Amino acid sequence: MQSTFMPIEIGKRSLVAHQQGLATVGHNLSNASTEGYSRQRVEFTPFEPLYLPGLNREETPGQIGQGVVVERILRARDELLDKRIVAQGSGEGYWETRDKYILMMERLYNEPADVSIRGRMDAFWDAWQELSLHPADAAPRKAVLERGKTLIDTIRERYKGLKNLQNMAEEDIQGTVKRINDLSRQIAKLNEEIQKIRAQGDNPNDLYDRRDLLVEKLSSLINITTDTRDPDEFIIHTAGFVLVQGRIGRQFDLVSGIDTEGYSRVIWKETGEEAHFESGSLAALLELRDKTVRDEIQSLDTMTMNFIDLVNDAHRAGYGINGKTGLDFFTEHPFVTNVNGNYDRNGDGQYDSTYIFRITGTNKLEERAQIGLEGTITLAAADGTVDIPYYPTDTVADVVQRINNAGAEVVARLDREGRLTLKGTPAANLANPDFVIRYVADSGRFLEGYAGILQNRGPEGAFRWDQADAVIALRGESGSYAVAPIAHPSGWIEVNQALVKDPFSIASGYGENGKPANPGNGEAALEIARLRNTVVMVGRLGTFDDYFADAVARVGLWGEQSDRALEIQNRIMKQLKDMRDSISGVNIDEELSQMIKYQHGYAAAARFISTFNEMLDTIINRLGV
Amino acid sequence: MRRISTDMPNNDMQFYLRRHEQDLSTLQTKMATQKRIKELREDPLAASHAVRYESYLTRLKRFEQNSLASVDHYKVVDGHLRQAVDVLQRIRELAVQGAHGVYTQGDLKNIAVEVNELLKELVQVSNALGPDGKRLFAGDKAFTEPFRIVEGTAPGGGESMIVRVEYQGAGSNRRAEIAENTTINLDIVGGEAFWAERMQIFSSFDATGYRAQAAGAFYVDGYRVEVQPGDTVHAIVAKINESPAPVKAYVDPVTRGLALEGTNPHLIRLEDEQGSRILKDLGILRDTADPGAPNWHPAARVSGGSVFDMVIRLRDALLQGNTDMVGSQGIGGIDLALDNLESRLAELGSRQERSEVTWKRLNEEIPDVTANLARVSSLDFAQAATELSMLDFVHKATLQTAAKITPPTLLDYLR
Repeated sequence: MQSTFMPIEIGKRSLVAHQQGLATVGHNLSNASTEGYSRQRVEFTPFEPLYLPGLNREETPGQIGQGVVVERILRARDELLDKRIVAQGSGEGYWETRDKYILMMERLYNEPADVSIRGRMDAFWDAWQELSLHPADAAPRKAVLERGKTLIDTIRERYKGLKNLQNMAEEDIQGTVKRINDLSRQIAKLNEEIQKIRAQGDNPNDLYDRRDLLVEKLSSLINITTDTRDPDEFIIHTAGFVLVQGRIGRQFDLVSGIDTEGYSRVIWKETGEEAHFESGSLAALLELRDKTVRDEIQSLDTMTMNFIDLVNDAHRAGYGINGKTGLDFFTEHPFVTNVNGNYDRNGDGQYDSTYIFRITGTNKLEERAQIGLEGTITLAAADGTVDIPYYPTDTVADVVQRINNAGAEVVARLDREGRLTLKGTPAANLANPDFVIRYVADSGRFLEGYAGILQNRGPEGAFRWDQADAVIALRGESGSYAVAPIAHPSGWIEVNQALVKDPFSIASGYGENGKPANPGNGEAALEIARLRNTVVMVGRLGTFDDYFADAVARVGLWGEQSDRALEIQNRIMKQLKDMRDSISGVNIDEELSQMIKYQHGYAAAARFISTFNEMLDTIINRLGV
Repeated sequence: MRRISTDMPNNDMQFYLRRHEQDLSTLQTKMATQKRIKELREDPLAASHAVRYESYLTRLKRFEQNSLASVDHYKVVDGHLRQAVDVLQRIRELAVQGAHGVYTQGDLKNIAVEVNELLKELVQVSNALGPDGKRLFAGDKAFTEPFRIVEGTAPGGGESMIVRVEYQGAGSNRRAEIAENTTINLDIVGGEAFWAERMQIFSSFDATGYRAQAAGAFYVDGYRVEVQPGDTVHAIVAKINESPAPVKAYVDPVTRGLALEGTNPHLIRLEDEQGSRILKDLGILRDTADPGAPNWHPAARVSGGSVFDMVIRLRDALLQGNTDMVGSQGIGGIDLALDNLESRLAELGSRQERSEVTWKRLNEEIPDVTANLARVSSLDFAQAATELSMLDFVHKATLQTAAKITPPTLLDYLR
């Protein structure tokens, strides 16, 4: 005999199930515009039918269905698509951050216009041209001074702008690391809650949604992969290590040091190892700070250093209207005030390095003379050294060009008096200082007796920077080499105060035969003006024109690249998100028709109960007396 | 995608609207500034070219200014030289007059007085100041009078007559850059323009056994000649002849010493480099540290005079009543002076012509480079305006469609 009230049970179950269905529909409708929400569906299953095989079964044909029950509440989500979005998110994050900074960097250039550094430099050279025509006048001197100051202001502004970008990136990095730590903690906590709820057999759909949203946010900051094979332990990997594992959310820390100019590096908190990210906005910030903007600053410094060196070289030999000579136009701030460039690098009280920027040979060379010597020059490069061979049939100009094209961190040129000059360039490696010549050696006689740079040939006669008094290896006296400048010349460049006080000291002419210049001689001014379009080796580029054109093209191309890449990333993400939306998004019409369905189901169940109620009424109230 | 969620049309529209707005804003800024390149990223290579063109244009404009300035300078110098020629012509007339045998001693003295006055006039012309207040014929000694008058007693004449005119100026050193890596010489100095005879300098030292002991150098007309240890006088002669200086050197067969001759009438400026004594050892220069001219060795024979020397010679001949001298060497000297002045005028004229030609060329090059710059960096207004109206239209269409995006839902149709 089966239970009398079984159908009512069935009806009741149906009511409850449909009510839950309606509740879910209501939940979906309410959250139609919530970020990261995926629509939920109830899954009806028939309740366990009677009778299962057993000794207490009723002798009646079965199985009799027992109505409907909500088996589980599912969310409509494509996990593979989610993984895809997480993988793509770091690309978008990377390019978005990079694009922002590159745009700011582009704007710093103010090109093509005449308020840029290039425009001001043109005006500066023009003032010298004017002075060369009227060397005995006061007005062109004042013009030279004022335009020089304007140019310096522009250079310093650009330097400050770039430095600010670096500082901004540093702040951004610190903020981003905090956010990553925060997200990692939050995800770990969510994992804990989800685990508890799953242990009870429920589907924590909203918590899943929340976790997915946090993971998506994290994916745009760093490149991560998720691992959901074990449903009880959600794992996130990044940078080759585990970031989140179940309840444990590891943290990052920031540590700063001298070798990164005071900027911080990102390390794992527990192990102290540095974290290397491939993609994501943190990776973009680190690359911008340590490579892109740093390269820009180095390029600006190279231009400034060469500019100062060349103008001073020509100006020192000239005479002002008041007969003064030997004055620098731009004040030079050497790294150390030691004439031999000795410096104590590791702070142990002993000189251990020599900081020399420029070495000039003692002999006058002819550009087109064939050298008739053979050997190999070894110069310092970004890592290690680079060898430059020379042959007897080479001309001096050939050897100079080969040195410049060899990729060493030393460039060569012949100065106004035909002497070979070697200059240090900025160092690619953060550990090496900028504008320091680190290694010069020659196996033959070119640098030794021919150009008059080194005392001896071979590796014993090499000029090495990592020892004190390395200048002993040089042939020339203290006037033929220059100590390296303090870091970042573009930040401290200034006009010599002696010239500002007395513009008549600005040199315009050269004297003949050791005599002071005559007042009408404008040769020095002409020479300085002609620096504009002579090959002076600004780093690895030939003239100042080349430098500016190259700088503009470089920054513009970066901008173009990041613009396009960002657009591509945006479109890809849009497509992926649209697909996700198509699967998981709420469609109001759909929900409303579901609502009608459940409504009818509920009404039917209610009707069934009341019908059966009437039937029971017959038995209970009308059977018997 | 077969299933469209409710939010998607809205999200889509926002995505594209933002892009339209960005395009509109960029285009409007470009039209306002008339520049095709607002950000470097829009066309990096064109921006790089534009930057080069702009700098080049600035340089060209400076060259144009320089060439005009040099043309003006030449014109002024030209005017003064022509004045000098006029004065010399007058002196020549007087010389021709004085060469007649008909005049008496007293008449000749009067002519001499007039010649003296004209001489003073000539010196004034040579000491002229340019419009910028600098001496025209002194080279780069801008404030020094190129010719200094020494007065004294002339034989046959009275007191305070000009006996000598010395050149105090420098060599022609002033240059202007009129084109890329091209400079022209601005100067014609007094030592070149106002000279009449070719200078000749004969050393009286026998130089057959001479050998340079140490490395050194000397300057001939401003050009440096290097001497290596062991050079004989013949090596030095070869070096002088090879140098660009307008001086010819040889070993005089009579004195066996060094002899120098100018290849055109000008004052030969000789100087030893500091620390070397080559010309002094060869007996050309005096052993003195005073850099002013003349610095000849007292035992060297120096000949070849300036315009003023010629006029002084003529005047002295007139004062003494020596009509033979007047007719032969007097007029001859003036003629030599006139010849030199004429050839210097021609030289000046050709320099002026060169500057003018450069200016013309620059005048054509500047618009060409400006056109290049415009092509690369300026906005094509017609195209931009069309694009703007197109973008505007698209934007409006998007917005209108967006307004229709909220279609009726099932809710509207349920009772």
